[in-house]
Amino acid sequence: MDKMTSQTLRALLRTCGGLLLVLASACASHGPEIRTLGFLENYGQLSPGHKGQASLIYIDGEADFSAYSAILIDPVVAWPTPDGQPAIATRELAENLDEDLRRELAREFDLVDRPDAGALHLRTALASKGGSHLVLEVEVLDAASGQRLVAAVDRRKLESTDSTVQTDAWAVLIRNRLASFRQFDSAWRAREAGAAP
Amino acid sequence: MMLRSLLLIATTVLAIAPLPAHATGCREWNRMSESRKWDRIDRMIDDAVSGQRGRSYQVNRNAIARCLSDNSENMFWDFDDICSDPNTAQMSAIRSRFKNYIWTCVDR
Repeated sequence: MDKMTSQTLRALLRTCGGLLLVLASACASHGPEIRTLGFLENYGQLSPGHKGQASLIYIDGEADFSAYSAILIDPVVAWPTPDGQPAIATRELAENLDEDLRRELAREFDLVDRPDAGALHLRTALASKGGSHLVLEVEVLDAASGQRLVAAVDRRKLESTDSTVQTDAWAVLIRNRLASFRQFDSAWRAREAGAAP
Repeated sequence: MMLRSLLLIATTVLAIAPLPAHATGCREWNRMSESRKWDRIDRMIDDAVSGQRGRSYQVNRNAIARCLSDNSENMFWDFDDICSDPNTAQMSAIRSRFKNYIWTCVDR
């Protein structure tokens, strides 16, 4: 099948899919709600991610991550349970994640303790849901202006009895994603400047 | 008469002028031929995985490139969608949506 035919078929399928979605949403009262912690502000800016992505995501398309070489990391917040106190296990996890984030991000950025120009500002909160799931809310801001660059809500099932494996994986993931954005924006800027690498 | 000629020349030049080397706002996207759109997606994938900007950046570039390539058809339609809707067709829409794909593909 050539590309044109494939695209035409895709367009047809998408149209039919769209109709089905409209019908489905008309029949269902509400779709599954993605539960958030309340740590972030303006959840309306976030939208559901693709498959395999964070549950909710916002990325500022104008942001140029190649302009950032440092990062200010707020201590990871252990989000309280409804009774007002985070579980001890959640506090320990938050401490682990805090340590993991500082270790991993120090490999990519200079860690700073002030909102300097050219620095990102990372805010993170962690909650345990029913002991089997973790919810992570992350926000990356421009440290100097406070402008939101990325915000994400991620929910993961604990796949290992050793929950530090999960916090370590999250820290590596956040580092790699920010590093990938820097890489992409750097190449993008170079091309825009007419000096393709 | 002179003014009309100048206008005609200016219009012709604008009509045949190539797009900037890497302009990928919705306005440019909507003006591209299909093959140029595919080229542009390929180039964006290249940008995401080539070079050595990061300090540590120990991601598996081959896996990310493969994941992005696997999603290129989705990107094509995604970009068409957002650029055909006046509510979402901002200058940064494509860049933002492409970063969504990077975000997903790094998690592999």
